[in-house]
Amino acid sequence: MSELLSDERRLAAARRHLEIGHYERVLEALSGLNPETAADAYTMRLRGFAHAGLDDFDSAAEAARAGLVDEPDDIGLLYLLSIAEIRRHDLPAAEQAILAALAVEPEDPELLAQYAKVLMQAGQLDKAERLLGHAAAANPDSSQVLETRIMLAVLRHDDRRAKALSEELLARDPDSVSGQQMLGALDWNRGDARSASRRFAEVVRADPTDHDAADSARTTRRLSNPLWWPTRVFARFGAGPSWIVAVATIFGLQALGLNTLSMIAAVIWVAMCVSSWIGAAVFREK
Amino acid sequence: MRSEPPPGAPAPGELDELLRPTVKQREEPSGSKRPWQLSSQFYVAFFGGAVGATIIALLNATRLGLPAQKRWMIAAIGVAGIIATALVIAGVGLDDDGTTGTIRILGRVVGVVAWGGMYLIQRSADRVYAYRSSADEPYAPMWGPGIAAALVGAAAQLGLAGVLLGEVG
Repeated sequence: MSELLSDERRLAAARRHLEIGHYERVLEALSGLNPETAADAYTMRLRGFAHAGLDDFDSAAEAARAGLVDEPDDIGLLYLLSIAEIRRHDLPAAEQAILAALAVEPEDPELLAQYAKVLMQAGQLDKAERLLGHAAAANPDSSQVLETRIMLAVLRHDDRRAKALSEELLARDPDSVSGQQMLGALDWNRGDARSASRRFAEVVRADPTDHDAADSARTTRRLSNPLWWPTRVFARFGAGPSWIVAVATIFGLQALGLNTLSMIAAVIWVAMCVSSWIGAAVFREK
Repeated sequence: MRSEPPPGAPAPGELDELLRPTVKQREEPSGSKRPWQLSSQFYVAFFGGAVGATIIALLNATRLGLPAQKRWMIAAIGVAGIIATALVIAGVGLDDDGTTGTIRILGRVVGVVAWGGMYLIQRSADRVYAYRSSADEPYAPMWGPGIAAALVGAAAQLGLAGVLLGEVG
């Protein structure tokens, strides 16, 4: 009896740690369970999500599969398996897992959004969009569905739509980390390093352990220095279009007989290129 | 504040059809089989004209796993670019001093414009690839293939000028 109570306490502690993102503590709490409870589907779900939180997707998939032996229709385990298999680059296995979950709950918007993510990874954007249409109709307030729609817009190169949806996400949930992160990335795509830096700093404030966001915040803060404006021009317009404009300007001035101006434009252009190459090398090293 | 449903939202009853498996396993390209940065293709288009741009875009489309229909679209743009280059060569002809300076510049312009269309076809697949890839360096360097495609494109353009104008200075 006391052993059972102890297991219940450990499971409750593990669940609390999982909710606040203390994944190593989840695994510590689960390590003292008796063998029967440790092999239980619910325990496997907690263990699997903790491994996923620690980016150990092999162990997460293993835990999900172990739990599914006893509970083959456990939606949480199937969802976890789908997430893990995506990260293990086994998209057919990820699809199989999420379709098994959808066979139990076909209208669940979060499951539909997860299937859309699998399809997006496979490049099937049209089908993903149709699924997200169903998901959004089933629950128009789901942040997860909205986040997936933002990612779909990004993959379609529809940055304007991605920005509008990200702003909608932040209007609904001003603390949304993914909304800030997406707007930061979109700001940088527009060459607005200052705004991007602010967005990434917000992400770091919300989650100080997010090293990628911290790196992005640092880099964009440095790039907002006037010295690096050529790098921002390339980020805003892309290398190809920037070259087209530069070449058209240099040759156009030359064709008009304005050789001195053409020469000045060429020198400025070379300086911009050199500055952006130095900037790229410096920031890649950091 | 709530967004409208995404465009192309399906009618009820379509869900059963959507919940059928369609994903096939695809090996993640590695080493020299990785795609190239889309923006790097600009240089090939600039120096190699429509032919160079088409070669490098078709090779990259294969690396990105673009469907055959989109690869045909790239090829069609390439053919249109080559026809446009031929028209430019025939229409403008040699410079007064007997050189090909003007048609070389216009050939580059046609190549860059053609590449613009090829870029639009590849860009969504490129983002999907970047989204999926977990590699530190997801893109392969394009020096060798890029220079080769640019040289072939420039030679093709010169050959076209030779055929259409009879002599090239």
